[in-house]
Amino acid sequence: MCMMNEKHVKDFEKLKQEMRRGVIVLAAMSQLKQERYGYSLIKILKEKGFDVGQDTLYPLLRRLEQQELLDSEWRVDDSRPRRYYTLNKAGVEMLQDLNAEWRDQVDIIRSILDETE
Amino acid sequence: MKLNKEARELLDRYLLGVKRELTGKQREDIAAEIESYLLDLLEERFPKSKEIVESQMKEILQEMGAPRKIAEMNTKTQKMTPALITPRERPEKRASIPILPTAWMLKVYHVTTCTAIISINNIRLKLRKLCMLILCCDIGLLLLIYVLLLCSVSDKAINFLI
Repeated sequence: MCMMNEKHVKDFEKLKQEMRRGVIVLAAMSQLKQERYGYSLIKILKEKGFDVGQDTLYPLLRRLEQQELLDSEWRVDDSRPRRYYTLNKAGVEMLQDLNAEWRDQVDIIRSILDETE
Repeated sequence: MKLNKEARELLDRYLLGVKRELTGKQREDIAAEIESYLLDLLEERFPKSKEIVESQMKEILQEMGAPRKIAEMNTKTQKMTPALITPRERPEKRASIPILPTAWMLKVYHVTTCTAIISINNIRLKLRKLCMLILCCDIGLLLLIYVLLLCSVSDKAINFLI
């Protein structure tokens, strides 16, 4: 029984991570209307209850930049360089679309789940 | 916040480890960003320390994980944009490429020797027949190796040209 529980917890963690993976981009983009550097983005998301590691976030930021949704700039403050990211115009539009899509999906899933309950 | 000499050295070594796994112009960029992150993390973790020492640096780096892993994470996602055309796979190195020329040389040597023996006038008939037989086999093999050699060369040439 104990083994069962352990497996359940492990599998739940895995599935939860999988579920969350797609939403990280939405969470990150939503906070980049104003410019932020990586560490501050991780912190603010954590404060809001969304935990994301640097090993996930930095590659994501880099990808968004490659897709030309983010602009980035190295700047020195507090006597050390930091890379600041902000959504550009295309990024803001993309965020709007993703936001609408997310809400639609939530409605759909909710109605599906309600049906089967 | 400052780093003492040992902590700085440790960090540099770590970043070098990351860079070693990366290529291209993003190499420096990724390493710089990781450094910037680590310094922020150190500052938050040890707010009272004016100078970061080796043990504190070690703690943070151990949490980060192996440099290779960090580099992998960063390169993996760059490839996430699916390419329509995947890079052509490198042809496996063929063992035949070094072997064939050697075999060719040996065969040429063999054929010449046999021909020389046959051409000696007063030689025993049995020996001459044997040599003739060997020579026939040799010429067959020689042709086969020649064809294989040509194939491998043209194969390489084609790969080179495409």
